[in-house]
Amino acid sequence: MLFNSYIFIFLFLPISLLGWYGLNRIKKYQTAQIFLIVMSLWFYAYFNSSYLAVLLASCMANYLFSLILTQKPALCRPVLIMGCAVNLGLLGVFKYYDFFVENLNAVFHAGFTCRHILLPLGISFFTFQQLSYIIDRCRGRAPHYSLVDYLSFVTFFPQLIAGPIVLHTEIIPQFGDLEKRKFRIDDFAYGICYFVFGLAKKVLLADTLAGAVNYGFSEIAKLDAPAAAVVAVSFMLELYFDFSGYCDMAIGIGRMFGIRIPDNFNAPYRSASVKEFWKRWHMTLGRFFTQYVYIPLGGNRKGVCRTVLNTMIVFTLSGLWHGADWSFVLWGFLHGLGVSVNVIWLRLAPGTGRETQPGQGSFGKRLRHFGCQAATFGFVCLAFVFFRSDSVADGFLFMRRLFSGDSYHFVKYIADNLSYAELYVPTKLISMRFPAFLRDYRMYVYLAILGVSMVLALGKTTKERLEGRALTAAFSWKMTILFVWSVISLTGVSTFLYFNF
Amino acid sequence: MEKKFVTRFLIQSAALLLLIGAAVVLADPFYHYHAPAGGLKAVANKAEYQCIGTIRNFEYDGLLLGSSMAENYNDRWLDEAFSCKTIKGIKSSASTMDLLYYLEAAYQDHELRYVFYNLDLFALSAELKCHFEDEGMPLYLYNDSILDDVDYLFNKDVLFEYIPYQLAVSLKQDYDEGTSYNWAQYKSFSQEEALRHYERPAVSGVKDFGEDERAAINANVALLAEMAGAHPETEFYFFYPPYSLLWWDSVDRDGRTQEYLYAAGRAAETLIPYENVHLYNFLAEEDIVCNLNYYMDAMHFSADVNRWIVEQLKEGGYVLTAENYEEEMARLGRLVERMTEEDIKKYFPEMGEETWDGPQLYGS
Repeated sequence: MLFNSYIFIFLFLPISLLGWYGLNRIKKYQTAQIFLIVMSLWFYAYFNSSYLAVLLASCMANYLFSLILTQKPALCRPVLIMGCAVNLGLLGVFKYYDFFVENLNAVFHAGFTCRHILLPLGISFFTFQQLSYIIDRCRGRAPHYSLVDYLSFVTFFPQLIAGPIVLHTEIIPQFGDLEKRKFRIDDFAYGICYFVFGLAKKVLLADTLAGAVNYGFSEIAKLDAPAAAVVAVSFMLELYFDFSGYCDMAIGIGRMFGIRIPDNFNAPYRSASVKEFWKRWHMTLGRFFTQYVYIPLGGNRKGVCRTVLNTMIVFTLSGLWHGADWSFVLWGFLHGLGVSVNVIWLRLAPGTGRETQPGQGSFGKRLRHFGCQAATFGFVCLAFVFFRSDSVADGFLFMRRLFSGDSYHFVKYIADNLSYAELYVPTKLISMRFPAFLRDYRMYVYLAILGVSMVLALGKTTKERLEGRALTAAFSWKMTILFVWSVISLTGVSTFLYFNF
Repeated sequence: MEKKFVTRFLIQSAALLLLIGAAVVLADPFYHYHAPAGGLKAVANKAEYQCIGTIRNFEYDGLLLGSSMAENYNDRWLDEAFSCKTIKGIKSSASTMDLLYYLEAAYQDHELRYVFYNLDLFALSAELKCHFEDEGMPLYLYNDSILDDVDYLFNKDVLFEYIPYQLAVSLKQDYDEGTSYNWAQYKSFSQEEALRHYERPAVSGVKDFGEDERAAINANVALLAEMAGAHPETEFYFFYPPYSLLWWDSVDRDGRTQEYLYAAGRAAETLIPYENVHLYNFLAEEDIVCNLNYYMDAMHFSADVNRWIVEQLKEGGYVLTAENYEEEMARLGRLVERMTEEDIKKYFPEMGEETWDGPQLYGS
């Protein structure tokens, strides 16, 4: 089930909230948690019930490992190895099997058959979440929880299928805190605001930009240089609004239930270096890799060469985590390179890159900071081209088009393929009264949307906009309009292709 | 303050959504709830979204069923020819089951005097299933559930595009409601256009035409016969549309000529005995099928041909009877053979080539 769906907003969420607070109100705390688990499983199984078996099997296996450690603490090391093997093996079978086989076939000219297994929703997220628990358990940093608490931690639906990747220390104590079981109107109000902001980011901005991005990446060979640049920027904005919008919704829903879910984005496009970007982008994934891969590898404690190597390992793995394709690996590798350059730069010129904050310092320093921000955004845009491309070859083709120097107004072709219901009437009028201006008009509309999106992405984060804000009557109207506008944008009228016999 | 905010937000949101929903119900541009009211005209230009609503909620006693081949008829032509009120049930690439779904929906609340049925040969050999779900059709308009009507009631495109369009068109004095789903006015029909849109397939050899294929055709035809038999009060006007020689060329190169000729013959053999069935064959009308100037691609012809077909339906020309259908089918077979072996050379002189570099307009 998606947060941005009618069934979720009008049925699932109200039932879940009523059940949760109703049961807690009559002090059926355990039942309330079980109810929430059942609802979460419904949420997960909505699209494909066969996924449910994978999720439950994964939960049970990890819970069993924890139980073994409780009874036989000496088995810490074998359990750690088994835990890693089972979790990563699960990911391997469902996510990487075909990738492995394809490469094996390509290298050895073999003919192994791909299995084309349907990837269970959110498997990368709940696997890492449980892996972190098992590692902490083996390190002696986590207790054995009750089955209900453990399932609440893993399956809590706001973060189940796309994160943020929460740690057991963040979630389970909150379920144990009976004060949080009481309905708190302030949490609920801010939860609504987070949800509405997230929904609007996803439905109004990301989905609108997606039209241009999808068209651009389906016609890479036809792109001229300006169109390629516009498409690359559009994709960065689409991805940001899509993912951060989802996370805002998750945080908002969590707060409606009285559960705080960690932030995952902090205005990443304000970053002045790639290293800073990764402290602001998908923060909970960065935290996982730092705690469970980078630091165990030695982190930055063993000299600059080892730091760079560790960085490259972490980012390449991060690329592979994002998707089973060489384009993702290359994307991760490029980010690793970007961060490594920052690391080396800071070693060669200690102190630089830290002293200037946005809006502070001399004009020169501010200008340099802005330059760094622009360069970082440019680098990230280029690297993310490989993230979006269907293959590495497509990614390089995109690069060739981007740096081709060609210019034949292909942006207009992209704009022609976009439609905005809100602008139907003015567009129709222009097409009737000023048909010669129609294409230019469409292009200006697209560029205006892109500009507004950029300003919003660089502006305040949802947290900055909401925390401490007075929830006035005027603000309630703004939230209402944003919510209703988003709701009516959840579905549309499709165009069916005639003559497709 | 937070309590007031939550209360305000919930009430305001509910009120706004109710308002939007009410506007959609009132205007109802897809006719899901009612026929046009309050001076609005029947503006039908989105078959997948509107057909089922019009079939359920409009007043009519004639129904024209078919694929996109049937979209360019003006309903009024049939009304005038048969003194009835006709609407269309259109689905692109419609299978027999798709169209019979519409027909059954029509019979639920209507007494039909006439059914005009564009009998596509490809539909006669189609799988016995409705394709609405597979093709991502808006099922919330088709099923009986009111819960999923939210997809219609809270729909930005409906609110900002289809309602304003419906209102604007209703204000036009000269809007002709009979032109439902028509698109011919936006297209060009010429030999050049037809050839430009024709992607000649490679020769793939004769497809297996065995018991399974025959059984599928027989089952489709049986469904049609069953429907005609169950409704003796309705006059069924089935007609084979005139596909161009390019279409027969593609069928031939795909190895399916025998299959489609069998389908045409089988349907004739089965349907003709019913007293309330009239079967017309325009497949072998050489003046049309061999003249590409009537077409925009291999199969879609201009509205002039649609008009001519209506005239023939009224006058009884080209009708197949128990006495003539075997000879007519044999004549069709000979024509197809001639078109695919000789006439096609006019446009593709190098016969037997597996690939080609586009049409060569000899004689154009």
